[in-house]
Amino acid sequence: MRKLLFVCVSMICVLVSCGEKSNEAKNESCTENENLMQYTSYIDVTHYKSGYYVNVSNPWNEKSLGEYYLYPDSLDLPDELKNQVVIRTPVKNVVAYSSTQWSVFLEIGEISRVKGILESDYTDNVEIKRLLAEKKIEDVGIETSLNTEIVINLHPDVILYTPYSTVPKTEIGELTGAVMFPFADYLENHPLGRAEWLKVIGFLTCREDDANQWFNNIVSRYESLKTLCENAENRPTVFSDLPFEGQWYLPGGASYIAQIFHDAGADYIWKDNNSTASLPVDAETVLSKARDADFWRVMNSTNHKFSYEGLAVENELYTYFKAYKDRNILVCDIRESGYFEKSEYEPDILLKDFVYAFHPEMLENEDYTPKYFYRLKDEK
Amino acid sequence: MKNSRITIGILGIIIFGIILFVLNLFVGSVMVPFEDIFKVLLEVNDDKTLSVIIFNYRLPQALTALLAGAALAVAGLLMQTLFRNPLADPSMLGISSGASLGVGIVILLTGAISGAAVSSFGWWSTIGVSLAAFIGAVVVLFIMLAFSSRMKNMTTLIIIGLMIAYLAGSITDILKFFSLKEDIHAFVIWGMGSFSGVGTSKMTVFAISIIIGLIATFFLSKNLNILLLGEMYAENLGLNIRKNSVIIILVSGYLTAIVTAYCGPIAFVGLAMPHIARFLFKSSDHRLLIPATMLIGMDMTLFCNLIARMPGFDGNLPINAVTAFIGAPVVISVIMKSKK
Repeated sequence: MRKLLFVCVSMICVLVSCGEKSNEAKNESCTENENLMQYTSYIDVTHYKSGYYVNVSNPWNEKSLGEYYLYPDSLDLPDELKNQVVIRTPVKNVVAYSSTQWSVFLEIGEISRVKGILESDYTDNVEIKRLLAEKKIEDVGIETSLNTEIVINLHPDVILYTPYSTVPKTEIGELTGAVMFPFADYLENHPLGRAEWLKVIGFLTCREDDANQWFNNIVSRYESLKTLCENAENRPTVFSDLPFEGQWYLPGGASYIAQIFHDAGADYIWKDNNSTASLPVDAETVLSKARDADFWRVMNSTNHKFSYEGLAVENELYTYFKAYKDRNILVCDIRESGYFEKSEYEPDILLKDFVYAFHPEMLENEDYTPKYFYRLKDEK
Repeated sequence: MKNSRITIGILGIIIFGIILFVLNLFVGSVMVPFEDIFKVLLEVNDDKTLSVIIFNYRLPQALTALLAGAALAVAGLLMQTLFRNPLADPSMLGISSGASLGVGIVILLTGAISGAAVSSFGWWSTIGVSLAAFIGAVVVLFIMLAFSSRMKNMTTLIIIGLMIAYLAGSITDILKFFSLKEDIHAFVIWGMGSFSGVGTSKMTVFAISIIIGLIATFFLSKNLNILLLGEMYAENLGLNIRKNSVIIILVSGYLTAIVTAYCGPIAFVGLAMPHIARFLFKSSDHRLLIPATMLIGMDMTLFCNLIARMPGFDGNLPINAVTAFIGAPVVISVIMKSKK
């Protein structure tokens, strides 16, 4: 609906502006207002002259998180942009808050533009480890306490940060003179919306063609799997996560993981819930609603492999779930699989993992090995 | 006359406790239809979800609440008598802070070591959390014991306990500052307290550990009564003050450590319940106060657990929020009445 409204409004704007402007500007501005982002809710990108106009919004209030003009460094900046927030492209020195950001730079071969990253202890990526060791990339600390002096010393032109509802990030921007660019990818509630943020890095590095190509491939693989599952005869039921201190924090029915369950031809037990955030639900409610669910998705953040025995020791209640009894627990070993770094740009693979579990008959012609979520095997 | 008053009082508390216990079993987020109650009780059946909810989820939770309530309340009573301070509670010994630090180290540091946040709540983390809380609590307990065996002055001991609490708290804060937000979230949730962490599998160990501690307190009642007369008197009556205080701290700290390890730092019960007991029975005799405080503690935590899981919510309210919310007005009214 929002998208539709946006398209209508922008079309009206185009018509009005085309009518008013001189012939010279006409050709340019008529293609200008097409939103280049298809699946995202929190970012719009349109052409602006030889560059781009970017607007990042947020789910917490009506206010925009920021408006940015990306303009090629090789061209003179148009006068009207002199008072706007401008990022000259390709960007030269980037500080990236999140591994989901630098992994795109890495993938498109532009990692040399990244000078600083955060929380490098948490990655196992060999290439990044090497660059850190060679001091080509600096670790600038952790999100709650950035090492400001190191950041200043890197002379960043852009800092890609993770926006939260409360934390203003102006100070570091003022000190470094860098443009603070909010990377709201994690807020997107459609798996393809999340992945589409990789195009933003394409715009920033002037590699939009490669990035678009990459994204379009993701979309076509995702959509074809989804179409396959739309015709599934049976739709298994699924629920998610483990409790902590008796409380489950379930993904909301409108979250991106709920969307993936749906697209993989399954019914998420809380699909009718319309929240995008996680829901605190107590164990007895989960037991009463999800006891007969066919599948159970579980994230493992430890370095230890899960086992059915181990889960039963941890909480005897688990053993009453059908998914436990049927040995249909789907586990993702977060660290080993690089889930946080890579899965965002591989929604098609995430989807395929679930399709493989929910509807193995659909993939029987392939010898498929799941990448993130695998069915926990019984050791006995 | 007085004896019958006491008997009626104790009986009343017990009956109230039984009612609360039964309500704990049959009231919760998932409604148990009235006509099904007896059906569920008659046939314990793993295939019936209701039966699993009642016997494998609510029953251990109610038992945990009951034991934790008794333990914390009586630990508070021991502290108040030992320090002759109506505001004393087990947290004054720094034991809860020690437990928090232990848990902080596990949740916040292992998060840092093992890479991804423990916050995805792997099964490993839950077992580690209880153990860490216990170790943290016991370490502080031994530090306090070392001080108390060298020191006669109880006020100094309170100050040392508070200082250790601050110290542990500040280390925890530093850890939090350098931690991932997911881990901090996990830590905050632990800090809110919960009676559902024990479950059927760990119930035997928990129950036996608590009951041993509770029984030990009964043997302390005579010495506690003597302490009330003042240290000079107590010494004249042949009581070894240092040895006595070491034992009291040991028992009280042990109870607090166990409860904190399994349920998180539950505030308020230890501070408030002894006051209610003293008010209700108008007595300072520990032979009465110890069982009375335990029973009142049980009623209180059962009641709070009931409120925390009120029907209509899908989630649990944090126990710590409920204990103070329910308990603070009770204590205020008790104090106001007794000071009139």
